[in-house]
Amino acid sequence: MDHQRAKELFSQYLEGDLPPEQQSEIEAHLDQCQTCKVEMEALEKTLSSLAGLAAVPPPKDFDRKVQQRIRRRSRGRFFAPENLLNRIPFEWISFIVIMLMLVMYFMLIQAQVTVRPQVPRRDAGAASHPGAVLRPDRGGK
Amino acid sequence: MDPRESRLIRRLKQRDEAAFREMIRTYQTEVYNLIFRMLGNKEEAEDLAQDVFVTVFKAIDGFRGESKLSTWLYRISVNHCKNRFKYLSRRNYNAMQPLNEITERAMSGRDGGPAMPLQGQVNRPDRMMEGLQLEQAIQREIAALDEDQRMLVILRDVQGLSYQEIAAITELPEGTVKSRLHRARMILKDRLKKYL
Repeated sequence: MDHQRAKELFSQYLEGDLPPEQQSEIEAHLDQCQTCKVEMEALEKTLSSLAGLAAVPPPKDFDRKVQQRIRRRSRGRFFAPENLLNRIPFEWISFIVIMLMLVMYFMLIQAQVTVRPQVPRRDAGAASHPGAVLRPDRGGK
Repeated sequence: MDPRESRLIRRLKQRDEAAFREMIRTYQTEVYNLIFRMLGNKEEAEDLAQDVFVTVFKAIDGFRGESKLSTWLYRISVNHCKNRFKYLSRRNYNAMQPLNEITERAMSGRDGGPAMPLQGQVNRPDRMMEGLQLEQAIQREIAALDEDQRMLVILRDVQGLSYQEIAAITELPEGTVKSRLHRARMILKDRLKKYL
């Protein structure tokens, strides 16, 4: 195998993508040829450095920014209304709070009516006969 | 296609916002990294990555599930990158200016702590500087490749996709992907020799 042919197969060799006979041929060539061996090692280091590049974290709130962009471009019509289970159902909470407040209001009104102090009233008979005087009962006489 | 992905796609087609959030969180790192490595600029990468996800939702009804969702996302990302290159080249944008981005990232991690250095953990500052210089050199030389070669190197050697996936993303035959990638690797090898 000549240098040129060996170099053409470097990538496939490093990835184990060669048939066994070509694999052996290139190994035999690398054993004899220092130039190709150095080249092969440099390629191996290059690939390992590329694979070792650290992942760059996406910006914070990336997902929220994308959603905002979609909402803006679709004028809020893009997403389907969300399932009640997936969000806080403010309209239901408001309704329940209003109903509770109404119930409490009526209960308070009712309570005021029932505990209103009794105003002492004149006797109905006495009222009809202004001259009558209340006297203690003397045994039915 | 795996059942979880099928369910996610069905929910996406129903325009379920929670499904959308799930998809972004699953794929944002891959999409953002591909674009960042292609453009070498944080702001451009963020803007374009957002556009990729907007396009996904615009086009989700037309997605027939013939490829994996990730492959489809990558294809959209690649096309967006190409379009952005055309746009930026008209404005004399230089893709070889990513060095400050890398330095800035290396100096401060995501939560204010040190960022993960190149190739594992490096405790010694001199080693960290070496790693940083190497990363800068790699990014500079990736940026100096032509657009197609750069794409292949990033997809295969940085992001570790299979040849089958890359062929599906780029719509090139696998043999063409391999031969173009090999040429790109040999160029990078020669240019990076002094740093390795």
